[in-house]
Parts: sequence; C-alpha cells; structure tokens
Amino acid sequence: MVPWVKALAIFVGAIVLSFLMERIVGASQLSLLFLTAAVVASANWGRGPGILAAVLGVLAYDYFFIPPRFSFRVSGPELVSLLLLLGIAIFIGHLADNLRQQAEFARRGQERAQATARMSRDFSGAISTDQVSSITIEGIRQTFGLVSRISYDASALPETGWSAFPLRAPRKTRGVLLVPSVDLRAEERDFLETAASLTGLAVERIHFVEVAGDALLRMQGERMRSRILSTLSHDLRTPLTGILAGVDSLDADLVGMDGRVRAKTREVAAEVRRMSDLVGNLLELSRLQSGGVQLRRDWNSAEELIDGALRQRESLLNGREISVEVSEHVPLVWCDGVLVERVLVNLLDNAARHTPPGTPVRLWAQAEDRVVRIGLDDRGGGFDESKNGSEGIGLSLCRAIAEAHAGTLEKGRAPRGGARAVLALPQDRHPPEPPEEEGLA
Amino acid sequence: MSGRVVLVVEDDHSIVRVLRDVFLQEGFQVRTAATAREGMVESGSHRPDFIVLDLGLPDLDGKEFIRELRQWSDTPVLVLSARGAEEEKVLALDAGADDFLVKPFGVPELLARLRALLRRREGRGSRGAFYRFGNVVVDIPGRTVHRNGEIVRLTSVEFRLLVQLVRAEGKVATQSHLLQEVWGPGHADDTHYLRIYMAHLRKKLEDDPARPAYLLTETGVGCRCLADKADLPHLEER
Repeated sequence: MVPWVKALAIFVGAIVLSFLMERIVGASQLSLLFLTAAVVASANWGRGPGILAAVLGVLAYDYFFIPPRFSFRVSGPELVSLLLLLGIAIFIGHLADNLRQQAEFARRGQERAQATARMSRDFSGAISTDQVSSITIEGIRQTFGLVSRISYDASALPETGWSAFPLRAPRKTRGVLLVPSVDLRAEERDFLETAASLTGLAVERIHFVEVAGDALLRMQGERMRSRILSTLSHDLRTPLTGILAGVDSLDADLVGMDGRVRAKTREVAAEVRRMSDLVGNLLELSRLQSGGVQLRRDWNSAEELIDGALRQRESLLNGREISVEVSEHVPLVWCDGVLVERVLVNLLDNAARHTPPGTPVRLWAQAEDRVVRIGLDDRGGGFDESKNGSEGIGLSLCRAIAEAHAGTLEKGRAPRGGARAVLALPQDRHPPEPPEEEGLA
Repeated sequence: MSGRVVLVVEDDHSIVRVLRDVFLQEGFQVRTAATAREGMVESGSHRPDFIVLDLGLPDLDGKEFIRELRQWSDTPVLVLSARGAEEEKVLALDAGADDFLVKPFGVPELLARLRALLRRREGRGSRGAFYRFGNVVVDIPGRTVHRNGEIVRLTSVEFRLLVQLVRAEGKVATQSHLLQEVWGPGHADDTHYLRIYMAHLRKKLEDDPARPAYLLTETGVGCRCLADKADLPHLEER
C-alpha cells in the first residue's frame, strides 16, 4: 500500500508547488513539474504508482492550470499536448522503473553472495552441528527474512507448507533444510540450494572430525591398556624368571646329593613354570576380554600348530604315548596361529594335570563343511561335570580365543572314554594356490 | 668353554645375579650391563663371545641395540623376551638376533641354546657348501639332497627353501625373510606358500612328518632347520 500512498503524496505535493510557482514561471511550464513527479514516483516505487502519479498529474494540470481553469474542458491542440505529456510521463516512468529493478536485482545478488561467503566463513569455525544449523538459519533470515528449520534426519518427509532442500554432501545426504513455501524466484532457489549443500558439507566435515576424534580416543585407550598389560606382564615375569633360574642353578649345585632333595627342587621349578603359565593365561585373557584385540591372522597348518604345542609341553608329557592324526583333507586354517597354539598348549596342560601319568593322549584335526576341528582326547576320567561353570583360567582362555575366532570350544567324551576337548574354527576362505611349479631341482 | 666372555645385558639385578652364577659355573667370564648404552660400551671394550640381551631395556629398544651392534660385530645374540610377544621376536630376529628364549626359561635350556650358538660360531666365516641334519645331506653346489644315501627329488622352490633353512644353521628364519628370499619381494605376506612347502619338505625328509625332528615351525615367528655344516660329504662312497 505504501508506494501508492507515497505516489499520491508526491502528486499532492506537485499541485501545491505548482500553485506556489505559478506566479514565477507561468502556467505552461508547470506541466514539467507533474512530469517530474510521475518519473520520481515510478523510479522509486514501481510502475503502478508511477502511472497513477502521471494520470492524476495530467488531470490536475488540466483542471487547475489550463484555461478555462477549474474545469476539465480542453481544446483540441491542448488535448494533444496533454496526451503527449501523459505518454512521455509513462514512458520515462517505465524506463526509470526498469533501472530501479535492475539495481534492486544486483543488490539482492550481492546480498546473497555476501550471505553465502559469510556462511562459508562461519561454517569453517563451527565445531558442532547445532552451530551449523544456527549459522544457516541466521543467514537465510538475514537474506530473505524467512524463518527456516534444519532437520538432520534425511529421510524425514517435509510437512505441508514447507519446501525441502536436501543437505547434499559428497558421502551422503545429511538432512534437509526446510523453508516456508512462498513464491521463490529461480535465483532465490539457487541460493537456498547452495546454502543447503554448504550446510551438508559443514555437517559432514564435523561428522568426520568427530569420527577421527573418537578413533583417536579409542586408540589411546587401547594403547594405554596394552601398555599397562605389558608392564604388568614384564613385572610379574621378571621375579619368576629369577626364581626359576635360581632353582635350576640350585639343582645343579645339588649334584650328588640325596635324590629326594633334588626332586623337591624340580618340583619347585615345575610349580614356578605353572605359575608363569597362569600369569601368561591371565594376562592374555584380560587382553582378549578388554576388547579391541586385533587377531594376527595368517595361514596356519593344523599339523604345525599341534607339533608346536607338543614341543612347548615336551617335558610335561614325558612317558606318555602321544599320537597325532591330521586327516589329509584338513585345509590351512586362517587364524591367529600363536593364540590357537596357546589353546592346544592349555588343553595339553589340562590333560596332563587331570589324567594319570603314562596314559596316552591323542591329538587330531578334521575338516567338515567350512569348519576345522582340532581336538584332544585323553584316557582319564573325563570332565568333571560337577564343577561346571568354574573351569579355570586355562580353559576360559581357550574359550575366549575360540570365540575371538567366531568358533567354539566343545567339551565332551572321547570315544574310548576320557575327556575330549574340541576347538572348532569356522573357515570362510581358502588359501590361493601357490604358483604352479614344473620340474625338479 | 673356559676363557670365553659372556655379556649379560639385563636391567633386573636378581636375574643378572643368577645368570652370572650359572655362567661362572660353566667356566665363562661374565660381564654385565644394566642398560643398552653400557652394553654397547662393554661389547666394544671386552669383545664378548656371546651376548644375552633382554628386550625390555630401560634406555633403548633391544632391537635398536642389535641393529647398532650388527654394524660392527657379528657376536651371537640370544634375546630374552616375554611369551606372546611374537612380533617383538620377529623384529629382533630381523634386526640380527641369533635366537630367542621365552621368559621364564630353564637354565638347561639356556645353556643348550648358548652351546649351539657357540658351536655354530666356530664354523662361521665362509658359507658352507654341504649341510647335514639327521640322515639328510644337502649338497648345495651339486643341487642334490640325499636321505639315507638316496637322492631325494625336490622341486626347485623346495630346494631354494631348504637352502635358506639349512644355511641359517638352526637359527630361526622369519616368515617374511623366507618368503622374500624364496618367492621374491612382494610375497612377504603369502604365508600359505610357506605352510605348503614346509609340509612338502617334511613329507620328503622327515621320518615322521607330523612330529618333525629337524624342520621346525615357530608359530608366529618363522621356521628353523636343525642343520649343521658338513665338512666332507662322502657322497661318492655311497
């Protein structure tokens, strides 16, 4: 409404000014005053108010200043000059209005460019998605005077009355910018789309900064834990190493002494070793249970793992008949060889401790349908079912290692009586064949 | 073994004390060092015949010590490390350590390792042409392998692997070392090659392939062959 009122005001002003100037310039010159009023009106308030000011101006000029005064009557030639005056007023007004619109357009464009630049600058300093939202919303408010909203749920459907602009970022769409549905010009849409993708980029950057921060924190936690465990391991093992070496050298000093004395030192040495194994198992168990443990998987052969475990427990198994049966079809196993060997060592320890000396132990490996089973059969009294649930550190570690490989540890009865423990390792990959080889050396 | 000098580089005093007693009893002269720096000075000034090195030294990583030592000395180094620290062993071996022993260790085991390393040191210098383990003789220039006096047919890859193993003379050769030497660079992670070919060698050369006596695998570390240099292979007589 305001432009129309202003056009009327300038028209009234022109009439007043004309009466004041009539004595000085003469009536015929006053037409220029009305022309000026019409041009000023259209240059400032648009085409409509300009035409209004032009038409009213011509009528007023005719009524007040063209004889006979205070009447609309005009003679032929005067009508022509009045119509010409009206035509000129409207035409100049039209030109002035175009100019005004172009200036307005340029100003808006500059405003939008400035708003975009300001938002980009502010985004680079933002460290939370809330900050990003408020930067975008403020930017749009300043540029359009519109109150927008941002939803970080990319799948949310826009409500009626709102237009949605997706927050597109290189990795994925991070949400939507919601703007009240009003008539938007193409360049305004462009601006909102740009604002939405700038917002998406900023949100994605913050997302990855957070991801990197979390990973760093987790890594530091893991590093700290593994440092504590390795310090603990070193501190616990050092005295054990001293004791064992001391007992061994004592044993050497006792050469020629009573056999019973030497038997005692051997017993102490064996207990120290056992203690050391317990410490090792305990540390390994806490390492596995603290999570985040990376298995060092590579290709291992069941035969080698069994042999490695037997060599580690050679003295413990003295006087027993040991048999190893690895079926021809057992493939290489993709596993953490050191840990799986530890399982077998613990199973051997368990068998040695719970079966009478001299009874045989059988180790075997079989493959069936994507699972490799490595087992141990002894000829003792079998697992004590009454103690179920408290199976000791050694077997707990075996179970933890099996589970870390997505496998299981099964306890059962061996076919010839005695206990059977089976480590089942699921296998979902086969080793690639080594290159074909022709000929002999 | 009298008159030989052993250097013990270890920061725990009680272990040093016990080891000193053990080595003195065996007739060695014993030098000790509590830090890698001291150890380096001792090995420069006393030229030990043998070094026992703890990997958890306070001032310098044991691996760094070995690497530095190897620039000017080939003194055998036996590394003491914790169980489960296979990665550390591999790094120490790759840096030039000769063997490792897991803490806590028995004295007989320690002395056995030490004697084996010293014995090999006797024949050090030139690379041998012939090696023997059990009833197997490896003739490297002749590219033949005899078992119980009979020629064993090996493929060229099997033979190359066997040569790498016997040349280490009982030392552990790390997996990545063997893979790169035998199959070439770029194959350092193809551990299945090693598994397959070690099985071939055991089948052809061991009496009981499931319980090998000479071609051993140290899980997570590498392989070793308990072979010795053979001076005169009387192959012609057979």
